[in-house]
Amino acid sequence: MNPLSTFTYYRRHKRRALMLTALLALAVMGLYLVFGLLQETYITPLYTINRYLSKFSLVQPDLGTTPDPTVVAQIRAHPDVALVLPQNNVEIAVPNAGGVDTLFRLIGLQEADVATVLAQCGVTLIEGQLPRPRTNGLALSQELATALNLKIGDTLERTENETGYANIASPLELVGILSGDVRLGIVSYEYLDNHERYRDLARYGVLVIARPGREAAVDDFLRQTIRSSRTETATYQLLKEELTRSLAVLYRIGIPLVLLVTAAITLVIGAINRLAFMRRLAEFGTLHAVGRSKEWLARRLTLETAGLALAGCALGILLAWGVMAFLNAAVYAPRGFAYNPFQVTVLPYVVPIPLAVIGFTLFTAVRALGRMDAVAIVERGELSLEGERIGHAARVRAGSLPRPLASTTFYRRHARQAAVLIGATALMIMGTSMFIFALEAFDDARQPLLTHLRWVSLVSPNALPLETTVIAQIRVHPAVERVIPVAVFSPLGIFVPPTAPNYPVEAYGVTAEDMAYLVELYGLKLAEGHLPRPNTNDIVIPWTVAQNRDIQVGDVIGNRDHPIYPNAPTLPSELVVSGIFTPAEAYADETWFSFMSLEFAEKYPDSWRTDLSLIVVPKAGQKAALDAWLESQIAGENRLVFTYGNQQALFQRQASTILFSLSLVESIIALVAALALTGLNYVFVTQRQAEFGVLNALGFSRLQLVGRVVCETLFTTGAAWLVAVLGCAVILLCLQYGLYIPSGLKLNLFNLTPWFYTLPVPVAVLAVSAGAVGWTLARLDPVAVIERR
Amino acid sequence: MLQGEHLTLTYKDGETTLDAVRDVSISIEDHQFIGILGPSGSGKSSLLYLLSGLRQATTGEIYLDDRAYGKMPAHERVALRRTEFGFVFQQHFLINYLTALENVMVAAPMQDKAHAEQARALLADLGLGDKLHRFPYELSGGERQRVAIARAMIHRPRIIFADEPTGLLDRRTGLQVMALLRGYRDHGSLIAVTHNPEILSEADLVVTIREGQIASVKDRLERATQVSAS
Repeated sequence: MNPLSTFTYYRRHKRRALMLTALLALAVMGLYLVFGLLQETYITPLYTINRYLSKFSLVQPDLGTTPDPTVVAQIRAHPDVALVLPQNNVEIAVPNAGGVDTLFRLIGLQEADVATVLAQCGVTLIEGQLPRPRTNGLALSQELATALNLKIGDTLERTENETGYANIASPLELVGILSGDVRLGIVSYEYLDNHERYRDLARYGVLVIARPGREAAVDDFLRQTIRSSRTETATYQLLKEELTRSLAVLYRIGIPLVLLVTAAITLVIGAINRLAFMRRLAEFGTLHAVGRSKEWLARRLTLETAGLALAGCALGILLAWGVMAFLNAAVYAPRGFAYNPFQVTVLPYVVPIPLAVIGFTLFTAVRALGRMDAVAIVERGELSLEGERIGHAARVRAGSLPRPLASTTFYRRHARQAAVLIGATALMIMGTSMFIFALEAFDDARQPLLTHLRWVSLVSPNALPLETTVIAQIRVHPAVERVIPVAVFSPLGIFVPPTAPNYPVEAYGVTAEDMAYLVELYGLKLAEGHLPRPNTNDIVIPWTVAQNRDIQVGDVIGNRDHPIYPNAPTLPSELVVSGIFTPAEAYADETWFSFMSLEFAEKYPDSWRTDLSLIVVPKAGQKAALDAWLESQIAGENRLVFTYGNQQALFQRQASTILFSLSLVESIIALVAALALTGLNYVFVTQRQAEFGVLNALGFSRLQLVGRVVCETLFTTGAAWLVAVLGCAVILLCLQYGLYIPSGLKLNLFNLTPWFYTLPVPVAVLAVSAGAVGWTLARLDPVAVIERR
Repeated sequence: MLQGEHLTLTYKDGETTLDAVRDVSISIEDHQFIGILGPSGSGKSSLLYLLSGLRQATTGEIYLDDRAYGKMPAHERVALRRTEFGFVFQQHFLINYLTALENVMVAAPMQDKAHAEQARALLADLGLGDKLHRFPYELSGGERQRVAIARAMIHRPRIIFADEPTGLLDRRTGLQVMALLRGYRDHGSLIAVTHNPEILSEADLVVTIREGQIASVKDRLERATQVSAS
């Protein structure tokens, strides 16, 4: 037996070892679960359900419905291409177990090609039949059928999910269940092609199968040679690149969280280690006196902590795997999104914790041992924290009224301890609420997308042009002031930080007369330039978009040199920015949309989607009644109605789905934070057993002592909350002035929602600490304390 | 008056039991200085814990005036310690992060200016007027014990319990500390536990404890007679 073994101390101090290991394990598990679940909810499903691209690729024009014959001939001529099959497809949104939608293509194939594609994919029909030509049959992989809650005979209908199934112009009936390596959704090519309502919604192109072993070469060829601003390709490599990009975004979001949690846990563990170190000064002094170097002591201390850190990390990962496996079996797999709980990609998020703890221990050990004087320690005898000198900050003012039992007195005299507690709690609070702040920031910033619907409503065709009877019905409605035919485009994207992709900003193609009317109605003013002239490719854009995209009057957009957003396809024709509107005085009144000439847009019926929509202007005071009527009487299978109310509700639904996921994430971190900080509080309290024992002997009841500790915890958590709130405010202001305002956007600093999410951690810490301290002090025996000394 | 009747305190250690105090009856009058003498492990400290309400007797009962400890709920016993008793231990048990003045104020009934002045005056009387704002580690052993004495006196308790108050002090300092404690007899009683008979020379009554039982009770006269006889 080696008394100086690295493990001897913790073998003899099992409770401390257990607590440190548990703290580390909890932190590691918390972070692993956070990122594991975020990955399985937001990123992996994209790969999971689109992995069919590893078996074949898709090529289709960016706009329009006719694949370019030259491009198709070029693909056919490639020596590594085995087959080129015609395909058309419609996209649907498949909700995963986390409630997040992922886009998936239902691929239309000709009857003769279905067997080839299934064989290529290693997919077989396990139930029902394959879709027959010109019927609305749908064959789906069983995982997708599960995710969509469909069984044979059920139909996929737009009315069930207005946004997710927006492209399902006519119901599709599930006739077959597929099983195999990849997930597929197959419909009849002829059905989509012949159905008048699908003709505009379906995308047309070719399906490319590579010769065996030449998949990578074909992928390269499609991406590098065929892919262009006018031709979209969907290949396995592009899918993997998208996955990598998404993981990078998660990584970018994750770094601050990882840093905050790691810093907080390191502080907590460091504080506990420091207390242990102070208690072991006599041991170190003696060992140094008998010939052990300070380097040896520092190495031993670090190795002790490293052992625990690695054990805690391993335990945390094991626990997280267990929880992930359970969630997979209980939630994700039953909903068609089974995953591998052993995610290597998540490990980088948790590795910093043990490394930081070990590094911090080494740093503090070297620093403390550097100042160690063995003789002083041996002469002074065993020293504990209670024997430590109070710092300069603790000097008392002679004239002040002594308040020995006030919470502030304790922490004024233990400034470092207070700083650790406050710092760790504040970091945890910021770590838990930052996702919510980011989400709300994004939500606030995109509000102007809806502003114009405060004045008008929009009725759009869905697959088919609006019926004249419906138009007439709207025109004669008593609440309608004016009906304006409009072609709706999305020629520009706006970048809404922190992570959102380019958000489409709509442009209205209207006549000059209607444009003047709408400009007047919305109270818009030109900052520079002029409104688009009839039959020209002029476009007038809002100031925010100009600022966000760095566009000036006279700039040309939509061509290869000036795409509507990075990597965007070109527009059917270039547009020239003829004017820029002034920004609204208040950001809440900001309106993001552009105007262009209706007559010009109508020149490109094959490429711009010019089925006219209607802007419906209500009479004064009639907006609510008109919206209600439009939503109940006009919205339907062939018509989409956009009102401020239903679009706001949609925004809120999207936000609350994400908010729900983030709340779960926050709960995990809050739990870890509460337990870690409670552990630290518990250690601090146990260090003060003598104080509490004497106070109890002097006549302070246990309840009074618990009350005192709770007050102290209230003080630290309250201070931590203030620090965190201040920190969040500073970050928000930095975002506002460093990121959003230069992008033409603004955060709503007075949105209270994210601030509420700063409360769970301090409340949890306070509650759990009070419980733990109460439990500890309930067993306090003053005589034992007095006799032990 | 504090009175203990047939007090027994039994500790259990697994299957074995140990009577730290066995059938002890004792009575302490107001303003009396009682010394409890005995070798280490004789049960003298246990008797003090019983009398001060820090431990509950296994059998027997203690009365402060007519109030029986055994019938009191726990919080009343705690309150009794706060209002009626003061404590001085072998170690000072001062709170390390509080100054001398603040340590004394811990036991004050109110944390107000009047009591702060009273604490200052008390410390000045004990020779610590210039060390009010020193932390315990900035004081000598004797000074710390004097702060502990001031803490025991600040609320004018009826009885001060002193458990080996000079145990860690040199002889001269120990005698000074005992002199300060004896001075409290004008305000209340003093019960001091020690194994050193020298510091009990001024005690009204010295109770000698052996193996948990009272071996002898001697007043001043008896002790003086004993000394002159020897």
